[in-house]
Amino acid sequence: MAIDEIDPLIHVPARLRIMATLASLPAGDSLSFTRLQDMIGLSSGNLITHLRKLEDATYVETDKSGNGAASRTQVVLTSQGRDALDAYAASLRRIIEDL
Amino acid sequence: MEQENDTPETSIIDEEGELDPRVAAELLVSTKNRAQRQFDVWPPYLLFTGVVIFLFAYGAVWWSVRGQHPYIGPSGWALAIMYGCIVAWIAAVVTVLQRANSGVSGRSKRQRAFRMGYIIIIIAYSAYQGALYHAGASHAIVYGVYPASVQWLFAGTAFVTIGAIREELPALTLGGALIAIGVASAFAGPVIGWLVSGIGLAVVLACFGVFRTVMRRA
Repeated sequence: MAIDEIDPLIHVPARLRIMATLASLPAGDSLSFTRLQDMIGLSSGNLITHLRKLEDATYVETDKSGNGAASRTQVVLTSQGRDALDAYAASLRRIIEDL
Repeated sequence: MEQENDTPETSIIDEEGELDPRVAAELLVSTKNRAQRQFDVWPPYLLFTGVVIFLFAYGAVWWSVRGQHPYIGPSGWALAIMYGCIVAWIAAVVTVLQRANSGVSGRSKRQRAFRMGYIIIIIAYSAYQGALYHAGASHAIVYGVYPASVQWLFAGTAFVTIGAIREELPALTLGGALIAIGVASAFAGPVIGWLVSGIGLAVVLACFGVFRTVMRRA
């Protein structure tokens, strides 16, 4: 299996860490943007950009509630995102076995 | 998203770097392990602490009632130790729970409902003890068999119900073990029952802790 066959959207350290962190929660549970940022250690701008890319691919969904300083954003891994991460992990295993 | 306007989005790290598959696999595993530890509401250290605390708490009560003829009940100092230990452990559990659930929605909402259920169980347990006293039950029942055993029947029934509804074998097993402790404690009588409860609960917590440790390393 060639390396270019693995999902390029996930095969980036920051997005891989975002996906792996969200996948550690039970399906359907969401995580606040602030806690995710704390756990990943990215700046908010970087995190937003990576989340947008994952959201465009329907791997994650974000839900913003409230306005201004009191606003809260929750991030959840979709079932497509969970499947994509499983497929990505399986691809990695196959590539490593072939090396 | 919150803080959306605080930071420019121009400097994106980790975007185009070449990522070795082995490094990616290690990153995936290490990130998942770290996240699971941070989301864990029952970390092994909390369970192993509970082993020591419950052995000490129930051991103190057993020490205060051993050799009583007729049975009067636990002394004030023993009850103070027991409730002090239990309250301290519950406070530690709540702290860990709040830290693990910070920013998590869904699970935390369900746990609020569970907490309400546990509070209702504790109130019913205390009210029933009062009813037994009011009905003229002996001290051996009101201050011995009942408090040493019945809470494990209540807690076990709750875990069995939750495990059955969610089809979760660990919760079912835990519930069954707690019910077994309650029944064994009741059969052991008002004095030895305290010891059976303490040792039984310590064994259950130790097994749960070992199980969680093994699951983490798997």
